[in-house]
Amino acid sequence: MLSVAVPQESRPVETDSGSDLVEAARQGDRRAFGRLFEQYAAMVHGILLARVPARDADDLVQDVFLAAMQKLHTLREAAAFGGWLAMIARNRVVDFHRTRRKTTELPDDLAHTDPEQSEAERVLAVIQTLPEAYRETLVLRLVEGMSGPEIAARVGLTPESVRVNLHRGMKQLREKLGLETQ
Amino acid sequence: MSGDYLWDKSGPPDPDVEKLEEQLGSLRYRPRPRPEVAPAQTEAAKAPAERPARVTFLRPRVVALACGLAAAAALAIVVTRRVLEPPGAAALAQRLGSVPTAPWDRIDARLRPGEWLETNSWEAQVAIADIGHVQVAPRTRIRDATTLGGTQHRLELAHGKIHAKVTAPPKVFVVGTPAAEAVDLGCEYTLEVDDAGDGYLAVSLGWVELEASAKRSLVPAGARCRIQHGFGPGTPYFKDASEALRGALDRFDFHADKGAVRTVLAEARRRDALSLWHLLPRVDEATRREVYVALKALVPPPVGCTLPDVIRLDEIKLDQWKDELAVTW
Repeated sequence: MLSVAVPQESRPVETDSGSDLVEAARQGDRRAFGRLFEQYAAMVHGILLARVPARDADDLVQDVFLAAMQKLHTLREAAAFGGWLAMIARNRVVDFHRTRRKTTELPDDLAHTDPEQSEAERVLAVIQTLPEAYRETLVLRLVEGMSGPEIAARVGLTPESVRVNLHRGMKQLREKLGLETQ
Repeated sequence: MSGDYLWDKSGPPDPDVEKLEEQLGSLRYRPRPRPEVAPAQTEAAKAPAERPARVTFLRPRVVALACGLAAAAALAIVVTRRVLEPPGAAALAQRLGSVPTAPWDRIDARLRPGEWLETNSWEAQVAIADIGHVQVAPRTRIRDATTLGGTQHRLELAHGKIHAKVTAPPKVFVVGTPAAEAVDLGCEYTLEVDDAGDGYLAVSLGWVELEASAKRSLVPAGARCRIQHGFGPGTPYFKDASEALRGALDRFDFHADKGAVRTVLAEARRRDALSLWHLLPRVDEATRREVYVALKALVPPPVGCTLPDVIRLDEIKLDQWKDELAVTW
């Protein structure tokens, strides 16, 4: 006779410090990994959204974190988690484009397309034509709502690089969208 | 604050940036809403007519006693990640009311007899009463093949990989694959099967017996055994056996290379008596003599186990010799 057996609860997370969470997650603590997900999901989503259609980004976020969970033992420096995770996300995009079908599937809700959503996707499509470094930081800033310092801390770049990328990217985006405020 | 709105949102807002933030905000990441998941018990209570033969949850001792009794009903699945993909997935997901949305999400549910569980890029954990559990790797398809009135807990592994930890009396938990059945003898092991039905068993604790028609392989901790659809189990070997020995076994088991036995005999260490003992019933009589001599040189047979006994494959005598050999494993 077969019945339910609930697995043992994992060790509780005692701190939200990034490195501690990574260490705890490395020891198999699912809750710690859950916290990392909460902290980094937007970053991963932004990195993906800079390169893939919006409708695919959510699913890929899950893929990226699953891959990260499986490879976590290979991460040497807990403090480098953000940059390491960002790299997994970028690699996942490469796989996505390599394996995706050549045909484009029509969205399920084609008849009820939200005009605001369409406008957002139009702007996103323009951002996706920018150089890679610019589009990633712009999406993290404009879509995910992260500040420059936050982007730098999460992605593992220097604040100077992020700042340059933001301003140069914004300049190009203004030109492409025909914005003339500045 | 630097007064640079684009950089750190300080200072007067840049109208273009503000407008873009507003436009693009709809694409921002939002954790997926999680519909209420109807607990399996609740759902079962709602639909008693459809409920699989109810297993009232057994305590360990009761499980032990019940081993010989009806092995009815449902495997419990604790899905730690998003579970299923259509078509099999759809039905179960609908029945459960939801699927997890994040890698650490978990829903407790019960796999009904006959019901398939197919993981996509996620994993699941299947609890087997109180006797253990099975980790189901991504891209794996399993089914609860327990039959009402049966005496065993049975899973069917169509393809993919599972890792089982079982603490039960021998032969209570069985996993069927297209190539062979893995019969648990109280242990922990990994079983993998590809789309063609071929694969391997690797035992990390205890023993597992692989069976297919007349073929039987006993695999102890630290050993592996290949399985192949149409051939059944190969000859088990220890993971630290020489590459030459492992290659020779592969040729003998699955490529009808009878001459490969000589390589096995030449390469065998004392510990590889495991492989040699398994070869005895698989070779012709002339070769059996050679295997006997080689095996005897590694671990002498018990008193009363003679060459004629081995030649005629006396099961009792062979089992006695195996017990002697097992000390070296």
